[in-house]
Amino acid sequence: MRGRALGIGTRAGAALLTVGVLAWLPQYYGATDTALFAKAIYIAIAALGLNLLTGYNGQVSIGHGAFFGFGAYATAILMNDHGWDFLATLPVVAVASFVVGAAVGFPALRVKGLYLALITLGLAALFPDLVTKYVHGTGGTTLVQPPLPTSPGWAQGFAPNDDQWRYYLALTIGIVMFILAWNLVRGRFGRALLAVRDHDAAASTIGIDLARIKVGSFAISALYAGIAGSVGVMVTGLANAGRVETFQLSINFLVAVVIGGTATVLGPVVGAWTFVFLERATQDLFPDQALLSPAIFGVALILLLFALPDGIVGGARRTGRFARRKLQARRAPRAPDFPSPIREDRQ
Amino acid sequence: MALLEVDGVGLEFGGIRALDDLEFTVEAGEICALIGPNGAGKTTLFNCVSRVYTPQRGSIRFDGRELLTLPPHRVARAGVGRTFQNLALFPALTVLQNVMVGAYSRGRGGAWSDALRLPGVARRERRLAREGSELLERLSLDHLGDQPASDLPYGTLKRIEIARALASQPRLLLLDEPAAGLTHSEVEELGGTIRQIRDDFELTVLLVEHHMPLVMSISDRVVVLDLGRKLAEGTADAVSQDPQVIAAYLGAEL
Ligand SMILES: Nc1ncnc2c1ncn2[C@@H]1O[C@H](COP(=O)(O)OP(=O)(O)OP(=O)(O)O)[C@@H](O)[C@H]1O
Ligand SMILES: [Mg+2]
Repeated sequence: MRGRALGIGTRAGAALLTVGVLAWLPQYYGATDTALFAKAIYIAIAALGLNLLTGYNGQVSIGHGAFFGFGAYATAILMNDHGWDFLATLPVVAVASFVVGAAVGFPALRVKGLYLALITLGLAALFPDLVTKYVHGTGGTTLVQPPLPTSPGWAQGFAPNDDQWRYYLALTIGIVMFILAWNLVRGRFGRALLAVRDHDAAASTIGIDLARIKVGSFAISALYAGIAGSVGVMVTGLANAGRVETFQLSINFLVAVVIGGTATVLGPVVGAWTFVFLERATQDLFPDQALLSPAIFGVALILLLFALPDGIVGGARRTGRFARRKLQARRAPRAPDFPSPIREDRQ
Repeated sequence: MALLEVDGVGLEFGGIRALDDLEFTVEAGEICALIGPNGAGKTTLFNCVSRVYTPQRGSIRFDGRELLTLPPHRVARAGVGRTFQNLALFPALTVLQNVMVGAYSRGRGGAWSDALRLPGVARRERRLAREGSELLERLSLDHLGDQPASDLPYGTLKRIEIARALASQPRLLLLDEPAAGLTHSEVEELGGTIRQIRDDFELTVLLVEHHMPLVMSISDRVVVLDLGRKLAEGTADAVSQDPQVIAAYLGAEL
């Protein structure tokens, strides 16, 4: 949210180029890779939302895998048991996840920091039990496998295969969610999110209703995770909520936010793609040593964070600011000093 | 009727009586200084007025309206702005954004209209930025608008806090030790600034300050606090002659 680093034109150009490359990917790569790209997109959607809560508002959640699962099951069940169209399930999932997120956000008002993290962890632990209790899927399991959207006639020109079509659906939804988040943090609500995170007493004295902002950011982040779950079902064809999966997803979202850069809109997206590719790359490294790849993946993440403590986007920005200052210093050899030295007394 | 009426306010922290049946008023348009030794309860009173703390006894009325029944975030809209003894800026925001968020209580619109950039949002943002820049200019901060509100000189950060408080267009401004940590010349400038904004924005100012020359030069009236009670009140000259006040400050500067 700092001063504009790049001009509007540069930004628009970069955005167009990025969208162009993303649109081209499934034309060149096969089905396996396209599924991987689509996975990066739905992880990015969830991370975008989690970043609003954790990065911008300072509330750490390690339970957003539960909201993801909620969205996934809602879409899968509506499609499978009630014959809904995939896109028609999205508004329902958005509203329902928002409401569930608010319901969780209210009790979360009373706790902060580590305690909040623990409570959200409890959410991730509880969710699979709820699924076991209420979901009756294929052959008595909790798996729900809805029929997947197929490429319509008018799209045969650019997406003859169904996996390409699903990728484009995911990409479109991802872009919409990205633009919404981009707008959101650049206005009144976004400033309030950061103000509450940075100094809640001061935020309250300038008229910000702390409860409203905190519950609101919880609800919005849950909406993002829910939509990510819907997209996940559309890509993988499967809603599933094992204890391990729910927990792992929750951590994955958080890792994507942190390695991408907290409190930047682009960060979680870059983080999600980096995450998915690092995971994939370390899988292929030692094909016959299944246990080794998660360890190498972990080490890679640690190294990445060690090199870029404020994430990839944060680090890039820092470098950009540094370079600009150097350039300016060269143009104007003596930057004006501030007249007032600091005197520390009675503080 | 006085603009601010503090009436029998009492607040205890555990065994400590921070405010003890405190009673005083602030008239509309005046610069009233609230002084007293360290730990007298000055900041605690500010925290009661801005609803950070709720006193156990008493009432605080602003323009005849009870503040103690309002939720904390309604105090700004009622017309009370404040600064903090220890800086309380939002370092993740730029200087201009700090001032823009200061106008939060005057605005409306939630997450939805922002996310969808409904018509009006862009216009509102431009207006907030323009008003914010004007305020920054008033406080000679306009060259800093795009800088993050951290890593700036202490006196500058204090002025940014005043600008943020003014953004809500308050009628009563509570300043908690605005001169602390400032250089000699900065304090003189601050005195002029406080007077100027009082006149220009038709403000009433309640000023907590240890810097006696500043208190002497700008306040219309002084209220002296000691151990949570009002010890004396009157003109700056009168209270500084008061033997009780001198005794309370014994050993401290006055
Ligand atoms: N949150 C709190 N918990 C416990 N005691 C508190 C709290 N806030 C203030 N106090 C106590 O209340 C008394 C009044 O403190 P306060 O900060 O209001 O003094 P002050 O007049 O602002 O002093 P100073 O000039 O040093 O800022 C002190 O004894 C202080 O220790
Ligand atoms: Mg104090």
